Amino acid sequence: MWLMPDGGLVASLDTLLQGDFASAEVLLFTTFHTPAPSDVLATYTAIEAAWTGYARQSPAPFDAASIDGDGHAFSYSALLSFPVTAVAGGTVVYGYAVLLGSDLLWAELLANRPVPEAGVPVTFKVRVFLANVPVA
Amino acid sequence: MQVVPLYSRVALLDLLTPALAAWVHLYTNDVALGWWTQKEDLVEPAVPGYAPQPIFGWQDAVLVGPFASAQSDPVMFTREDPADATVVQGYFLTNMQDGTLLCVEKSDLAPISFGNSGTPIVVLPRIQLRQQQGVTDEPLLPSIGAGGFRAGGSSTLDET
Repeated sequence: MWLMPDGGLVASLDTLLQGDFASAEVLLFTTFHTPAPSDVLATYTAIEAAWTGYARQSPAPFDAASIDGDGHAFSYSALLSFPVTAVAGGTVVYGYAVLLGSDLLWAELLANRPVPEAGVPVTFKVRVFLANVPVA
Repeated sequence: MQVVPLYSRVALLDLLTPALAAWVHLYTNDVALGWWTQKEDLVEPAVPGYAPQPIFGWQDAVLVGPFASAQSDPVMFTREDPADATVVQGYFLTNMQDGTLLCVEKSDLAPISFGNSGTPIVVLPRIQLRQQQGVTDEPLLPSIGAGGFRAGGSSTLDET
């Protein structure tokens, strides 16, 4: 059996979120898409937000990892703030993707979907977690 | 719903392994393993010649079914005096020689004789990541995303 205890989850997540991860970027996508295991970065760049003033944001720095009630090591990103100078009516932020260079790291279809308005940045934090899965 | 695509799991693991300063230790006691396991629960062999070994390199992560798996270079353990019977249950990794317990694996072949026949033990430590079902929780204003992945591995995929 292989497993990563709580202390290892926290140490691994902290290690992961330092170093090269500091250059990761978060993009928003504004066309409905359900993330799938076969997705690649182009899946999301093709549906990336394009309103005036939009720019990808860095999720760094992340908080120090800790353990939640479900036994997940978790960490929150910095508060992301995507500027909105002008935006077409009906635009909805369906989710985000995290990328590092040419690698897609993960993507999420948000349950609470921001509707951008001119002059009001879209803000949220990304929560990343590492959970233990004992392997028989 | 949050998804770590297949090749992304490899990319994440390839970010993690070189950033670790992992050391490999053997342990001898047949202790129940779980989220509660701490380094102090694991008893290392008290025999001449045994010492924890650093991991000098990790192979590139690969996809094994739905999870990414990375294996280190082989690590060999020998002992100087194979007179007494010592058995090994498995190995564990720490970050730095005496740092945080990262992971532990009990061998399917445990208990394994350590050096009684003069044969060294070779360990191939591994770390694995697989998809964690994602949820969006704890909404803030206007929203908060939840992303994640799991350390571990199995032949099943727990995605939605």
